[in-house]
Amino acid sequence: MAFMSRRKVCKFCENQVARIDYKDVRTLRRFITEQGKIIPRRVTGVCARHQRMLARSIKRARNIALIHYSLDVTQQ
Amino acid sequence: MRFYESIFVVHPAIEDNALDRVVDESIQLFEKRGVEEILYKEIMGKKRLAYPIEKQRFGTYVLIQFRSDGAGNGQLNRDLELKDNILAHLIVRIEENEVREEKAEPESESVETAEDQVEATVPEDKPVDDEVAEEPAEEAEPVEAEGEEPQVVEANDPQPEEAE
Repeated sequence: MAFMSRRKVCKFCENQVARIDYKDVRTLRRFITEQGKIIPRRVTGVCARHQRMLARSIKRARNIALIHYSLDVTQQ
Repeated sequence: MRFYESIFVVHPAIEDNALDRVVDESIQLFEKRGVEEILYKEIMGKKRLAYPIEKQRFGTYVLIQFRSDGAGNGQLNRDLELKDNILAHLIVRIEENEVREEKAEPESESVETAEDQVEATVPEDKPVDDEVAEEPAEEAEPVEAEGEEPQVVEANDPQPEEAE
């Protein structure tokens, strides 16, 4: 059914992640949009605690150019 | 005594011996600023930068983990900022169990360290990541439009399958 989505469970909790590493670009990529925005947890289902850790890690990764701050998707 | 790690990006034209020299010079800076002990050093290799810095599209990432009381970190930050050939840098506090093995004190029971090492040595996908992978891509679009969806989901939760 189109309007019934699965219940969202925090992936980090499921895997008992104690810390989110800002160097782990593969994981961080999944929680940002193509433009580089952090995806809200209402969409991804991440719990509040992990969302805070995630946001911090994403910002750190941006700082050292591991992921982009923003990307103009209309260009290219 | 606290544990810190610093990651910095070296200019892509700096390679081999010159790179070692820049790294050594940087370590001297660390030591000058009250770093007690360098616990781990890794040249993570040349990578494409997500955005150009000082007109460079690539850079060599260097990771250094150290122990310090942290008092000199402000100065150290400035030193790195001013140092030639370093495009970007970051100093972050870490926990003891995040220190990667090498010269570090052996701690076998630490889950964190084990995870970090898998990541460092094997570029393959961790099973952990695989599952996370599908989530945002799949659900990003539908939810964007309607804000009330989460509540509906909660309510239906006990008996999720009602398909005919």
